[in-house]
Amino acid sequence: MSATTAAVLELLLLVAALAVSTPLLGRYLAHVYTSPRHLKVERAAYRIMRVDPDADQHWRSYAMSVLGFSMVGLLIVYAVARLQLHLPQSLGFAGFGPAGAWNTAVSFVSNTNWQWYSGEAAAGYLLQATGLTVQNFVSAAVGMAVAAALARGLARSRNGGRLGNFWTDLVRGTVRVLLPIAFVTALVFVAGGMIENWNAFHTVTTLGGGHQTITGGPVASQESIKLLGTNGGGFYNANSAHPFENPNAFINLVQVYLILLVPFAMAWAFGLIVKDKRQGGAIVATMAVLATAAVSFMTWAEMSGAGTATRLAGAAMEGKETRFGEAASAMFGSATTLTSTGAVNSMHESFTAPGGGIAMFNMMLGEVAPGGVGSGLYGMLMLAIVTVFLCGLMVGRTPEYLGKKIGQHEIVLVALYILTTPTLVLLGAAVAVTASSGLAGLSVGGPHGLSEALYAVTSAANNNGSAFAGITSGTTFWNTLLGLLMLLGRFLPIVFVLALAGRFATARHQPAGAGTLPTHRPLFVALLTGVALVVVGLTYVPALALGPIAESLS
Amino acid sequence: MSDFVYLALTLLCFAGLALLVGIIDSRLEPDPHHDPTDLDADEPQADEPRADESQADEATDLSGAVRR
Repeated sequence: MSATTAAVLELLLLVAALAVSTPLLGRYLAHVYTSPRHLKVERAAYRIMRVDPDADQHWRSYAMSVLGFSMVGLLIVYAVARLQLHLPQSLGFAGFGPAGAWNTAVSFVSNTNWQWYSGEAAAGYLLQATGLTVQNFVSAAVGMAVAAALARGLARSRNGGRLGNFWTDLVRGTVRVLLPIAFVTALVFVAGGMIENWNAFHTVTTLGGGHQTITGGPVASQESIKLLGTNGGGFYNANSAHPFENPNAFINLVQVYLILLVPFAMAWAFGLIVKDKRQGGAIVATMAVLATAAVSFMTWAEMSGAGTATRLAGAAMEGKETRFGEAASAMFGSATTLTSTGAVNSMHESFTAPGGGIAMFNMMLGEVAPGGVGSGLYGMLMLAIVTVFLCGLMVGRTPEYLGKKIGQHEIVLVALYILTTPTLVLLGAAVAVTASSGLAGLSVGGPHGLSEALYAVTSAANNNGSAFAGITSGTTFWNTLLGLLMLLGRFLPIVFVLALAGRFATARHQPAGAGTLPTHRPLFVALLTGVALVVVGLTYVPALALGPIAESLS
Repeated sequence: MSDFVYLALTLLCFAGLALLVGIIDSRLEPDPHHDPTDLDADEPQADEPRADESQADEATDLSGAVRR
């Protein structure tokens, strides 16, 4: 079978699996976020947390709960990382320095999972399993909760800005969605050859007489939520390129599927929550169009392999696992940057210039196709509101989305949301390439060096977490800069989303009129796709021109 | 840098975010599309104060949004 045929078959299998699971999981997610019933285990959690699960929170209270919960989580991970030498299962690793511990804590709490350290050489099992894996679950659940709150805000009418209960959403997302799926997939991973143990590292003598350290660790359990929660923080430095973390091509395909599973299903659930399945279908379709284009373009870029060396070798295999090849690497690379995952099964720095540019563009798109768990949905809904606003201007009517008028306050909140991440990215890149401490972390100068810096700040501010691999980010400067970008890039947009949700929940539903733009038809899908591309294009093209585009033309 | 600096940075960031929540909440006027005299039996009444007329006119007028 040729590489191209294998690539096409793999893609078709992935699409078929997602087509089956998206409506099923979507229906279940809609039930989870709207059901009035609590499970016994959930009631126990509410009693421990001393919260009333039936309290309908105002958006302000909901946002403060998100911020308070995340800050406490950040401080806990910081403490565990700093004190790991004094804690059990540290494997003798020293505690992280203040800058590194803060960067790591922010990274995992913000669902970014940027890793400045090598997991197998710096993080003990306790830190990995309790500090990091716990945040993999709850940070994903926070994203889903915010998306559910926005959907409920759109569905409700004259509700006084009440969006539901954050603690209920958090617990349900964790207990009813993430934990069961992660448990099952962890078993699949173990059956596929992934390791799951608490063994100490073994040093063995190789056939050549050298010494090699064989690592252990609870890898499968972390791996499943790493992908399911679009987290991306690997147990090992090589992430999903490591054979213990991604043993074979089948598991690789399952990993890509897991990355995309919940984000697509959340969009479907949205349609059910707002009681118009077609709206969810339109969002899913837009996500699918953008994702298909990105996967196809990146696969083409990597398989056509520009440059003398790659033409002679017949493939652009530098930095890629021979077990997976170009197509599976490109598919993984697209999936991980289209979502907020950041896991890698190949080194993105070694991608062809267009391929690396697409990875960057995917993140700059705001990770909305399908995006992170929850964050992808609310990001796409923000773009949908921009779309109806622009169309409203064109036809001279007050724009509305799902019966909610988009007035001055609504569009200001959306504009703030849209501008936050590009501002962080471009300011962050400017600081990084003008400060000597920033330049010191780059492996090369010129366009590729700019791409390294641009990729890092883009990844951080968009809460992706993948790296170009050439950058040395374990310094105080980079840890602090990227930490700030991750924190603000996560929580500023969440505040704007919840404020908008509260606004919608307060407003009454307006009946559709002759001037209402239908938001469930192919025309709207096309408009929304165009708006997503234009917004990103206008914002980032100058920076991309100086980096990957200049490099590919040189 | 010491632990104190990063703990202070954390508190500063989250305090700033909490402040932003407060500012947005105070700046967001009540729903201009909400007619408080039109009550549906199956829906809870909005618990926010009424919008005054000038605010309502400003927010419903798209041209006002464009001007700003």
